Formats: sequence, structure tokens, C-alpha cells
Amino acid sequence: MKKYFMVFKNSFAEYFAYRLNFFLWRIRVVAVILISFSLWQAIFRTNKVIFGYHESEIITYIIFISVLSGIVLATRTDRVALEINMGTLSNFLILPMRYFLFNLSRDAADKIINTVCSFFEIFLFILIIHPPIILQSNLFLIVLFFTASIVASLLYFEINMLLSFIAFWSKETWAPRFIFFILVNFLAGLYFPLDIIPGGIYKVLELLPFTYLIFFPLKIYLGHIDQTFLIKGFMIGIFWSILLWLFMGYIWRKGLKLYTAEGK
Amino acid sequence: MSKYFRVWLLLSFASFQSFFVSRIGAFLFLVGKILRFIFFALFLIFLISKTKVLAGYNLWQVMLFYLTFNFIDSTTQMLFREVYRFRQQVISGNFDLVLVKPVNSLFRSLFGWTDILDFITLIPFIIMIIFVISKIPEITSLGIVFYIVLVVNALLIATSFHIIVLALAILTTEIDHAIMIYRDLTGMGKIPVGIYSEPLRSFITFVVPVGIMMSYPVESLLGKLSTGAVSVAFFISLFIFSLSMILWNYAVKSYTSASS
Repeated sequence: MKKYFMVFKNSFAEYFAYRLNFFLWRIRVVAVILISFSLWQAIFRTNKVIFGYHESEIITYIIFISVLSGIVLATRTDRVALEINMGTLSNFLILPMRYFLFNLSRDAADKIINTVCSFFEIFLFILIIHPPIILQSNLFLIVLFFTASIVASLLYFEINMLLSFIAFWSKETWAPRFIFFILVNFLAGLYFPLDIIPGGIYKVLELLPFTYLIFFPLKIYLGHIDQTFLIKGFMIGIFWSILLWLFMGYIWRKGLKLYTAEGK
Repeated sequence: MSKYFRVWLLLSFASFQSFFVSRIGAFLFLVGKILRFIFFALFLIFLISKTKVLAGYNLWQVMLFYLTFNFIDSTTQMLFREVYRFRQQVISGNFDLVLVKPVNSLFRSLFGWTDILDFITLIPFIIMIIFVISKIPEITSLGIVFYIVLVVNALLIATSFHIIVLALAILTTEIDHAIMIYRDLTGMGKIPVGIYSEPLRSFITFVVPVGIMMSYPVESLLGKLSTGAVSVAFFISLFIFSLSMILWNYAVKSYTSASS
């Protein structure tokens, strides 16, 4: 376990080597949230309730996307594709480490630093703008929120690893990832809560893994849930996690058989 | 001038050819861009169908803001894609090879790569803009002239920002995200800047003039912009352009050709 901790520590240290880069990255995250925040704020100037949501609920949803982006969407797995294409994957294969755990350790550093920063940014945001925000006090909901966030992190890790494994077959890994980012932006609920979408489409979205990346944990945080929603949500989320984990292992083994360390 | 146009055509032809090397990748990127446009448009349509207006604008007017943003954004990306890979040239020292060529180094660094995917999306955007304008009754001929002039003005501001990003890449080797920050900030212009509260609205109108770039053309078309505001728009764009040229000249003088 110590070696994975060292990977975590080194990944963490990388951020402090490129501080300005990281600072600018956080500005980008804040800018995106500011767009959504302002849009919804403008809508609530003339409407008290919209799509069944009060202003404080939507604003909380939008602001907490920042935290959830840190926990769920922060990842370094895009490097895997580069390592396969450059042939540097060989360096990792000969190490006495499990490659998935190695990547999870790299991701953990990324997630922790982004999450800590997001809390700091939210604190500043509340201090400066005084948005109507809901601070959840129900401990049970907070525990469920973090549990759903862990499932979401695992799902995001698996999907990203699978996207990187395309590199075993093709050099073209950025284009599928670009489409994936766009799908995540809209189908995971990064711009708006998914249940404002008309019923038929929402029912389909409920079956896809995207819903369980952002929308599901935030819906739990807001307390907008009933028992059926909760059980169904966790069941579908866990089902996708197990399925994608098995698929990831299968594709990894298939890919390794094709891997020729080309470029090394 | 004609020499530079010929050079641009040559560079564009070369970049177009490279897209055909990886056709599947190019196709997927194009699909991604179209999906991004459609998803946000659907979101706006869905939202305004419930609220009827957004910051005082109806659906057609909001769509015009969104389409104008997309037109300016795509034109900029089509022309200045080279800026996205400029930092690598500085770090590797390959910028030396640009400096010794008998072509202006700024021209080469800005226009070295033309993005065919954005070029493909431009014509549908123009058609959609004309269609949406035809749906808005209060448009005048003078408004259309001002709209076109202010779109050109927006492109001048966009050029200036790209020059600033190039200069920053030379002055500091640490900035990876500068161009993406520009894009995120300009992304605030997808919707009318009147939506944003103060002091953010003033910040994105005068400091980072997203409002002047993305909202002023449509506001002038709808007759909601004073002549004074139009003058300020031209003044700010000329000021930023001058500033960017000063910064670029300073940066080139500071270039140390490290790693070459």
C-alpha cells in the first residue's frame, strides 16, 4: 500500500510544480459555474418556482457541481491513452504494481486537491455573492451523498479508462473523449437537473450511467428523494459500476495482447 | 497583402489535407461540435418555452444571441487554431524555425492552421442567423449594417486576445490554459450579457469585453444599443488590439530560444 501512497504523493507534488497552470484551471471551473449561476439567477428574477425547483435549490445544485466535479470528474486517466500510444506503458507494466490501482492513486491526488479547492471557492462565493444556498444538515443524506459520489467516481474512472484503452487499437483517442465530455456536460446534469427534461427522455436517461455521475448525488444532497428513487438509483449505479469494471478488465487483457510498445 | 493571402491559402490547404489523414477522428470531432450546439440550443428552447422571456428577450432573440456567439466563436477557431499548439513550439525551441522564415512570425503563429471542421459549421450558422433574423419583426437595414460591423469588431477583439495568448506563451512557459480561459470567458456570451448581475456584467463588458464581442452586435440589431456604446466598442477593440501588438513585440524580443 505504501507504494500507491507514494504515487499519490508524487501526483500531488506535480500540482505544486505547475501552480499557475492549476490556478488558471480553477478559474476555468469557476467561470463555467458562474455562467450557469447567472443564467438561473436571471430566470428566478421573474419566476418563484420553475420546473418544481425553488431558487435556493437550483442555486445549491449549480454551486455544488463544483464540489462534485472535484470528487467525480477530476481524473488523470487521459494519460493512459498517451502512455499506450507513446509506448511508455511498458515502464509501468514492469513495475511491481497493479496498473488500475496505480491510476486510482493518481486520480485520488487529483480529486483531493480539486475538491479542497472547490470548498475554498464556494466559501469565497458565498462570502462575496451571498447566494441563497441550502446547507444540508441531515447526516443521513450527507452520508448517502458521499456514497453516491464514490459510486460516481468509480463509474467515471471506468468510462475514462475504457476511452483510453481505445489507444490499443487506434491513435485517435481525443475525438471519442471529446464527444464523451459533451455527453457528460448535458446528460450528467452539469447545466441543469435532469428531471426538468420531459418525462419520456428522462426515463431513458435514468437507465444510462451519466445520470449517476452528477445528478443523482446532488439530488440526494438536496433531499429531493423518495425511497424508490434512492434504491433504484443505487441499484442502477452499482450495476453499471460492476458491468464496466468487468468490461474494463476484459478490454485491458485484450488490449495488452495487441500492445507492441510502439514508439518506445 | 496578396503574398500573405497566398501563404494563408497554402497553409489552409495543408491543414485541410491533414484532416483527411484521420477521417474518423475528424468526423467524430464534427459530430461532437454539432451535438454541443444542439444540446445547448435545446436547453434554451426548453427553458424559454417555460419562462417565455429571458432577461427581457424572447426565444428568437435569445437564439440570435446564441447563433451570433457560435458564428464568432467558430470563425475565430477556424482561423486561429494554430494558437492552440503554439506553446509547444516555444518549449521545444521550434519557434526559431518560424522566426527565420521570410513571413511575418505573428502571421505564421496566428494563421498557421485552419480548422476545416469549424469552416464546415460556418455556413449552417449563417443560414440559421438569416432565418432567425427574418422571424424578428423590428429589424432595420441600418441595424443589419451595425450588426455586421460589430461582428467584424468582435473578430478584431478575438484576434487581439489570441495575440495576447501567443505573447504569454513566450513570456511564461507555464500557461497551458490561457486560451481555454479565453474560451470559457467568451462562453459567457452564449446568452445576453444583460443576464449577469453587477459587477460581473461590467467586468465582462469592459475588462474582458465578452459583452462587446458577443452581445453588442445583436443588441444593435434589435435597436437596443446607443451610438455612444457603439463608439465605446470600437475604441475598446482598438485599444486591446494596440495592447496586444505591444505585448507581442515585447514577447518576441524576450524569446530566448530555450531547448532549441
